[in-house]
Amino acid sequence: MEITLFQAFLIGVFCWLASLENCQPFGILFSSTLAKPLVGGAIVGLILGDVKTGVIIGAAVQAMYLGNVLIGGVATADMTFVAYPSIALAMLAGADAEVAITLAATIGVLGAALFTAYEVLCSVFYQAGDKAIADRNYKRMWLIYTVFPPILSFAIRFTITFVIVLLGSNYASGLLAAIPDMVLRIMGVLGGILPAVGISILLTYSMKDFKFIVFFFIGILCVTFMGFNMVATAVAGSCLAVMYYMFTYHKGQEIQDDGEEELL
Amino acid sequence: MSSENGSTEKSLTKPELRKIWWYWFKYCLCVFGYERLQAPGFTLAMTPVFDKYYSNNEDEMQAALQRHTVFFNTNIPFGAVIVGIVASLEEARAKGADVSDEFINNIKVGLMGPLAGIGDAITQATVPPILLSIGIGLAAGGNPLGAVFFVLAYTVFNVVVSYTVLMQGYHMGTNAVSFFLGEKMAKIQEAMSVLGLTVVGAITASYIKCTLKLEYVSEFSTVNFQGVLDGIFPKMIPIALTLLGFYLLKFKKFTAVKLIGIYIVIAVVGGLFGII
Repeated sequence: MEITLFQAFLIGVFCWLASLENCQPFGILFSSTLAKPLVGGAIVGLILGDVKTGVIIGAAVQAMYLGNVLIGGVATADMTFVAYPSIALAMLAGADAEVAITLAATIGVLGAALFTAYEVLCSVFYQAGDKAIADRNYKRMWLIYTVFPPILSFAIRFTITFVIVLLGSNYASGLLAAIPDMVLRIMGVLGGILPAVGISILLTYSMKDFKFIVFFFIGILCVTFMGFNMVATAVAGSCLAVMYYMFTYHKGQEIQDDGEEELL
Repeated sequence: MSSENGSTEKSLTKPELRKIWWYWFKYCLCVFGYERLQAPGFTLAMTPVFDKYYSNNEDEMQAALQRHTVFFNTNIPFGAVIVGIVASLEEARAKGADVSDEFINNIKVGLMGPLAGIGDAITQATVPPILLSIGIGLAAGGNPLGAVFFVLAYTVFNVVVSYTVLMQGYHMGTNAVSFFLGEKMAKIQEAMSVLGLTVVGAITASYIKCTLKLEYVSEFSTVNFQGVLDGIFPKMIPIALTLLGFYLLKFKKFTAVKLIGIYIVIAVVGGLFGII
């Protein structure tokens, strides 16, 4: 697939717009919705003139990142690099969904390393912000907090995406054709397994007590034996959550009262 | 810090509160560095309060901004309740109530952990997987409706949650603190992880794809090992892979990248020998 300079430019701009550290123009919580591969796939598809393929690849990649969690600001993969340059590259190379997943995972991990560098660089803004407050120059504080970081983010995300996508249009398809079938097969297998990374992170995160693993198994049973979809499972899970609360929470006084009766 | 104190009467107007909310929504992670994470976002969200009360008091304005440049990190939509509580405290302080710097900071530090816990269980582990699965379902066959649905639904969710809890936090003030640090909240948090874990179980069974390709062929019959496994318990391999990942992360202190390495090894070995 061919790509024009303007298309590469647009994909670069979107890679910046969707990033979690960019507060322009609708705010960070809105940007975070654009950083999902499902959404990125549709946008990249629209830009490249093939919405259908974009959405199919985006949905496949998204399945891997259903459980992606930021823990204390540390990401396992940079979702914006996953959602934009990776999907664009996969489309340019004419890769199928499984290969796209592995490609996205690779770029995602590299992107996370790059983002770590950005996070370290951000210390400069904290120091400069402190200084602006010390000087009582609040206009400068606003500039430092809300204008300069997005510019730095733009410099990194736009440049890298633009270059990757342009180079990709020349080399990606040839490169993909040169990869032996066996490697492609392994990449496909890996694409199927990799969602386990995000899911196990979620498990460590929501399982404070190992006994709670019973609820994880109930979720599995809902899908495998009862044929529930995700919404039905969520409703069942909500019922369990309410029941858990009803059966385990007792107001402090009641417990004290019981205790007194036993003593008497 | 009794709320009966006459000077703590609340008088921020609706537009001012909306501005606080919008600044939090828009700028929460505007400087995304490990050093202080959401500190600048929190500072900016407080500026409508400071502008109202300290516009003629340079010393107080500076002190107030400096007060919030310390590390802050929590769940963004649910953490908005802290923004609301602190806005009410800052207002009380500006009106002369005895609210110390330490008190404000202790409230922030004390609440950011519990709220990250409950908030992430909902906004990371429960809601996006559900909305995304619906979106992926809608996207079948290349339909962009799935993406449109997700953007709309998740934005509405974020706006409604962050706006509601921020307003609640402002109106309840410090009364909200005992609620969030109480035993009741601890139980609610556990109940949320019940819901989260159920959804995570469903994701495990739905989205990890790994089947045995091995077959035992003899003169009389062919044994398909995946069929045998499915007969015992479907999705055994995805469950095993997830529990392996959980074990390594939790008990062996693996990093996520190291875990990806393990899965690559499994995929390479399994793929080369045609096992999976």
